[in-house]
Amino acid sequence: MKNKLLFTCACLLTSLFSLAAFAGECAFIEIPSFDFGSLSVTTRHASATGDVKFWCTKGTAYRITDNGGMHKSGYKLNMKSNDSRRAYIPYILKYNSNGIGLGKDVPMTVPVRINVFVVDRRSLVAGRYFDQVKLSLNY
Amino acid sequence: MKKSRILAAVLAATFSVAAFAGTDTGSFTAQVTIDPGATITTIPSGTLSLGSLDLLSPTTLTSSTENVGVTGIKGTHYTITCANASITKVGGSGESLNFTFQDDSGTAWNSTDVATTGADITSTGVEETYPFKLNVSLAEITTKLSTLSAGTYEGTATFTVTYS
Repeated sequence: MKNKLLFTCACLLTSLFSLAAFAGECAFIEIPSFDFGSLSVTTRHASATGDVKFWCTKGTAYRITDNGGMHKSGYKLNMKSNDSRRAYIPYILKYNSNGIGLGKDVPMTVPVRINVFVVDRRSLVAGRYFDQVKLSLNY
Repeated sequence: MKKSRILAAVLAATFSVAAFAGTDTGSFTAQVTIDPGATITTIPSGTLSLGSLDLLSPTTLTSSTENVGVTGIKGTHYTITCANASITKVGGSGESLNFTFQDDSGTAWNSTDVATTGADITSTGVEETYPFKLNVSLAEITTKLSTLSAGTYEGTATFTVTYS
């Protein structure tokens, strides 16, 4: 009985030690904004790339996800015009979402690419189009 | 029995990798501006023929109907103009004939040197086409009858779309 109790205690201690050693952490350092400026009447598409910077504890697995922005429709992300006419410009967001941390002192970058498509000209009106996307760094 | 245990261990390990213990969040903005604008997207290619003029029994010269097309951002106001509306004798010494632009029904656009559809058009966001014909009036031919000589007359017209 005494032996059994000792064995149980040893296991618990091992588990606790194990948890403490592998607790990872990640944090964003910098998230870029994307301003495409003015698109002319003949522009069909435009693209821009920016680097998301963050760090993760060495060896920590991370995954970056997004909420699809404020005007997602189905699988399509959209920028919305800033007036009451409800015009939208669809865009595609691309980035590599998974990886392993290299340590707090080794910032990592993930390029984020946005492609804007001016497809349906009939619904397009002159003005500013805007969207805000929330990124989550899960670890 | 042994097999079952091994399977359970693998499943547990997989679950452990998939679960993320913490999250940091941030956001970015994306924006683009669409300016008002209109551009000529269709223009006749090649040469419009006005046919032959018989100086002994002159008649009005009219080309076939062609289209000029304009695409604009929805709500953009624009007008189409066309300058240099004359044809000059090739290798000649200045003999020329002025022509007018007409719409499909034969109504002249509103000037000979700077022709325009005359309308302040509001774009619908898709290409809008405007049929036109070139016309050399009998009056123009009659007026210049004594100065014209046999040969080929040609000219270039430049379409311009102005928008706001």
